[in-house]
Amino acid sequence: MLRVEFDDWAILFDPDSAKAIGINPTGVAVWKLIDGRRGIEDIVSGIKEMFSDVSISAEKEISDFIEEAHKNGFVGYSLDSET
Amino acid sequence: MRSPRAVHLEISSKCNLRCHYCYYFDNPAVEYMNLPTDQWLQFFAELGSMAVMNVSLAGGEPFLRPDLKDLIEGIIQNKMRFCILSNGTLIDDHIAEYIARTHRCDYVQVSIDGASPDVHDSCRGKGSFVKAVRGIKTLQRHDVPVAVRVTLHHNNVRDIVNVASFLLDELGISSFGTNSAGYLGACRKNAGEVLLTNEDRQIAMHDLLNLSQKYPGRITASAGPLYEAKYWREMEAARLNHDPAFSKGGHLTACGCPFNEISVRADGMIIPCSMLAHVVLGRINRDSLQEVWLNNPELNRLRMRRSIPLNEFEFCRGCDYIPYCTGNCPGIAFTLTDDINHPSPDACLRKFLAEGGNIP
Repeated sequence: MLRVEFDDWAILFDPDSAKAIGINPTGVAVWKLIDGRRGIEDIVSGIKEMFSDVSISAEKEISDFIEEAHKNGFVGYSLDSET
Repeated sequence: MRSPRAVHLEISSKCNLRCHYCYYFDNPAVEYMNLPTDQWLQFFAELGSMAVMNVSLAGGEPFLRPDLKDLIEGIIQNKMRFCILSNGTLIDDHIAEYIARTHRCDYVQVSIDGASPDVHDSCRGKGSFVKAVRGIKTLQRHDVPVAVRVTLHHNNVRDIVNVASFLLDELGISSFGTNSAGYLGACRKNAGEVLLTNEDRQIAMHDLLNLSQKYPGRITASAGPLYEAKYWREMEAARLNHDPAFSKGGHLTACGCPFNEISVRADGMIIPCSMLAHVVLGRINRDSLQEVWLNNPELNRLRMRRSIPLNEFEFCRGCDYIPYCTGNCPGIAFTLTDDINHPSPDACLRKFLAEGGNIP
């Protein structure tokens, strides 16, 4: 569950585990692009469309964020059916 | 903050006990009635849409509600966690097992006032100790996290050492919180019997400080003698050292509730907290909680309380502790002075010392 605190900072909260992590505005944007259909490349593209001056390390940072969310149980991975 | 993180819900206006110091009952500003299930469920949907994370279920006695499971289901479906504040006397295996199965319960808090029936029952009623302890053990049996609140009053303050040993050693509770009976609700008509005298306060402070060392991290307080003992020591040390003002000192900053949480009475009225039950901000399912949270003028006035300097008050004139004092609970301040925006005389260090008290 995403809870926007103030401005665009937010908390990702899992009511089952009571885990909560704070995320910055970019993290909020990434979270909103996670829809079960987009892969990481699609999410990076989406971020590049939303923000100007996206750094070259964006893909790694987004991957790290998603991995952190996965480690805390907020997201899961599914395999592409074609692979 | 765009919405409250937590909401305190007085889901029951009824209780099977009549504790002599209960803040809840005997408030002339409150209509003691219960809302039907569907009204709470509708409200929970609104809380869910606002991403409220936690609710506390209180009253009155929440376990008196026959629809308690339905209410908890509504909380779960709206992605929230919950805790329950209870006298513990009505908790059976059936409800404890259900609560455990939800995996959404942070804790059930049970009130314990003594290490024996004589002491506990003196303010809570005959037979309540045995039932409350049975309730705790039932919760433990089902691995439901148990919290305990010990409210200190004139009749149990000399039992606090025994209470600590009973709870922490014998029952194996991980920690308990303490406060003291405040001049609210039923306590107003029983004040002579239950309120701590200065001598009581002295004993409580001394014993609780010692117990805090004996059981590190296992006795907590955000008000009452243990909190006062610790904070007043800091204030006195700061005064003696001529330290600069504490970051929150010198103004009416004590109340942080309006920035994080809000409460709802059993009749559906939205209030800042249970200590200010007369301050009606709106009604659930009629008024938007978001709108109340962001724009209600009374709530915003309460938030602005922290800009009021203590040196404006006649009560505080000439006090050396002003730079370190926060003015304490506005609810107690109101009940004693008829003014929310006034420091609470009950938690005044200068007054305590003037009446013969000593900082431990």
